[in-house]
Amino acid sequence: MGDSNIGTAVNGQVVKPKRQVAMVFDLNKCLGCQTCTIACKTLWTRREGQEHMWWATVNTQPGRGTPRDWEQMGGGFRNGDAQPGVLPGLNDFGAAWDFNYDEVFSGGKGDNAYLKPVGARPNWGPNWDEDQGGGEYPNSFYFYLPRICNHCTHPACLEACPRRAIGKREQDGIVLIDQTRCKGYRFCTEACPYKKIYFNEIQKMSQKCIFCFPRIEKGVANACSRQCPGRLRFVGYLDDEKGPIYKLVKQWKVAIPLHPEHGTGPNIYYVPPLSPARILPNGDPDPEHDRIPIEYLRSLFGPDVDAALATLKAEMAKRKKGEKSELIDTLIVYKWPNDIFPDFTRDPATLKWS
Amino acid sequence: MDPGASVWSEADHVRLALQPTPIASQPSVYVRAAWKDKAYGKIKAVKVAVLNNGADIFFRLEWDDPEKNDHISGTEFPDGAAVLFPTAGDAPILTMGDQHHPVNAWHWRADLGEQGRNNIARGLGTTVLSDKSHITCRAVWEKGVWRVVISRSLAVADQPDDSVQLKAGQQLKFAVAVWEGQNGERAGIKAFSQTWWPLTIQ
Repeated sequence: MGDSNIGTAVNGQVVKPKRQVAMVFDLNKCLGCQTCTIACKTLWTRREGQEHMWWATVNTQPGRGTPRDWEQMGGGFRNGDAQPGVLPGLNDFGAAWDFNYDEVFSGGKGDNAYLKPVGARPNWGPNWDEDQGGGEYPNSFYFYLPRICNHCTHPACLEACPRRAIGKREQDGIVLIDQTRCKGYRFCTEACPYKKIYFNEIQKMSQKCIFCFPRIEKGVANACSRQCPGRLRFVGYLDDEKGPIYKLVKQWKVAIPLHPEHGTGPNIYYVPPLSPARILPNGDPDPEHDRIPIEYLRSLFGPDVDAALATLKAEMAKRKKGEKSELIDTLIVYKWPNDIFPDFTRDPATLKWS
Repeated sequence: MDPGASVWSEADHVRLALQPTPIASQPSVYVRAAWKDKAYGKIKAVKVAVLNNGADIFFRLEWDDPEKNDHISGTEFPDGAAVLFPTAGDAPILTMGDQHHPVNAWHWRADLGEQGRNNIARGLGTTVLSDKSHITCRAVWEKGVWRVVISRSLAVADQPDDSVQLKAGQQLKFAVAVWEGQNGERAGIKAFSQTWWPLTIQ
């Protein structure tokens, strides 16, 4: 923000922060329970104008995602050049629905009233195509894809803002929109290839995931991570060689970014989903072929997904034979919270906010 | 204050030609890439009249705009207009002032009602909104024409640094900018009068 050039390209070189905080989502553990989504919503986006905002989302893949068809909306960089993008609208995110709570809970109708949206029949929402997935029975498949702002190394949003209202913090690389500088121009939303910036129509400015920075500063993990029942959201510094992030991203290279082709250098990494075997016409499993087409995974995670899956399978096989695997032990998370976010283990209930 | 008042029809008007702001000077790699092949600065001219009553000064801007855009939403942008003044010396207009020569913009936006916004800028992309604004706007769109009155007290004692100070007999200069919301125009994507226009406060 302001005079800092962290996160911008200067003479072709992106200026980096001193440290970068990052997350790894292990997709093999995600239940699609939306606890992360609700944890975030409850903490950060309950004000007027934020009804449609879900800074943390979980969508079923293959699917259209949120906002609807965001993967076809452009933005990011190609060969270092900014690419035009589309501005998603409220209908693409899915406007918040009002429910008939009064009728159900105090309307005196007993069992005859059931919870349903009131007003015009909704035709889209942030999790509209849940569990539809892809493929044909018996080879149908799906998995869940949690998403937050990627707090990119070269944020397209930051480069897009003509007011330099978006900054990348020196101490941890968290990307923030300065709400005193933002004038709601939304070039950032157009430029973000992940479409994770929302427009607040009441405050007339753009808002997004803040990586729970007030918690991070006090050694508390992000709400989405700490609340995750599947314990699949690792948090830590990329340069911490003893931490799980470094091990999964840098050492074992099993955690890879989503849509790396956009060139923004996301700092949210994914352990790609393993797949059950394809079912042959005679009903037998075909262990030679995965049910999730590898082409589909490559379209999401780029060419590095092959090596990541191969490493995962090899290490799982070692473990099956009773051998040790540091990778599998890291993914298991024996001791929570120390093994999943070692620098952010503090219980938020011990915090006193002034 | 009434944009349709008869006093305006008797006032002297000047017709200022507007041009799109140069694409190369947009302070964003994204804006330069996304707008380089798009037409913007859709409003080609604005008619300006200036009156004062000894205490307040009134600028009436009038331009053709077939579509009224007075709403903001995720994908919608409102129409807007601004009057720009150098606050000290010869501020460059192409760069919205510079570090040592700030400019003061009185900004009307169709979605903000009568509340005008007071901005100070020291170069492109540097505008800062004042905490409070003494600028009042009144706007009417009728039959494809916007008529917008932007007014303020001649002097605003509590904003010595944020605002241009005016008094009777003073010679100054101003410029105007117009944003066509229908075309997604906002920020530096706008039409502006490329040169300062002289004004003597009667």
